[in-house]
Amino acid sequence: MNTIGRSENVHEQIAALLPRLRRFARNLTRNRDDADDVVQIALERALSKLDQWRRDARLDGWMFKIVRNVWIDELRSRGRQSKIFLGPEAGENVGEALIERESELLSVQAAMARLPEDQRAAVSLVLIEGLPYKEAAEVLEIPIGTLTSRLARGREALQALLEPPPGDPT
Amino acid sequence: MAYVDGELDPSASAEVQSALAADPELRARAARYRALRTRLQSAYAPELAEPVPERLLTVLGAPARAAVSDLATVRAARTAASAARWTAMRVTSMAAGVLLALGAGFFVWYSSQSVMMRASDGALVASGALARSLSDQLAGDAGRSSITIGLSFVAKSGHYCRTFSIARGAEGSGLACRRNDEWQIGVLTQPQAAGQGNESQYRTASSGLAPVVLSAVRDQISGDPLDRAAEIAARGRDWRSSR
Repeated sequence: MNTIGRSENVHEQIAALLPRLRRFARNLTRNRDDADDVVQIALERALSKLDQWRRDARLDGWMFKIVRNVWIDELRSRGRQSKIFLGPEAGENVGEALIERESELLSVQAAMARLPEDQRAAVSLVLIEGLPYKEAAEVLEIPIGTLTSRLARGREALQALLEPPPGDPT
Repeated sequence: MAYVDGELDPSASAEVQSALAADPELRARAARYRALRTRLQSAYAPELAEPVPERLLTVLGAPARAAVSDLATVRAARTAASAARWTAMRVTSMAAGVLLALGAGFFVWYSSQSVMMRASDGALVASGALARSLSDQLAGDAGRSSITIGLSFVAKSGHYCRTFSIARGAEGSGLACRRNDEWQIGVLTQPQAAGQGNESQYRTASSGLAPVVLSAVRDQISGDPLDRAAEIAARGRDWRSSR
């Protein structure tokens, strides 16, 4: 009885998360179509194992983790098929899609697209999606220390890409 | 970094603050990091406002569950929450099941309005009081029920379509088109409890039409809305397409 009511409620909560899930998936895949495919598969996967979601855990973290695992699986299967995934055009896709944005914003996305995958995921979860370190580390299945070092490297890379060469720090 | 990210407990945070007070270079680094954070967030904020593709919403409705088996529980949980927050759902020909599964609110709506909609051939069609209002009521008239018809028009497909609002108890609004002597519901919105969603653009008064309904009208309308005489004439033909 109760489980039906609650799981319907979970559907609503997941629906409310969709914009963030898509955004996170875009940051992982650097391609809007891939991102929606990944989210779609992640939704299917999540619904099939809703019973594994611990009620005391954050739903967004759980969903982000599924999204990322779907993407990893996808990369692995692409890797088996061929080695041509994630060529330089992937980053250009992001730029194209955002071409009507202000140039400053475009450069943020372009800079993100240039980060290595592990840093990009960490930056995306903590700085954009606003997850606490602990949650973000769980999503990525890494220790918190690893998360913070990826975050630090990602931050430095972004600053180097986005800010003029450091003059005097006044 | 952890300090700016809000990850430090109060005592550690206080230590960092005193270190920052003593060290201008540290202050500059913290400010630089904070600026990066802000910049990233504002650069990515617009993506949250983009409409979610239908196919993703469809997935959420897909699981085969024993749907309407527990209305009482759902209703009880629902009555507490009636904030004027709207979730918009587009109804496709396959989506009747989506609505059935999408939200607790819909079950309540579905039931509390003495079953105003039902699935028919994979589409959601009006029934009961809603079907009667769509067929009989003229736009703008207050009916016996809590249902108001907003406007009527001929769609590009040639079918008659009408917008409706449900005022009392289970607010909502939508767009229905007359096909095969039934009112197929093409767009449906319902209020949703305030959550962490990002649908603030749907935050409208609890009466009237949701923006998503209006935009569907704009997409589909051919010519102008029907005036009263045209409505009466169309009603006289039982809203059958004139083509």
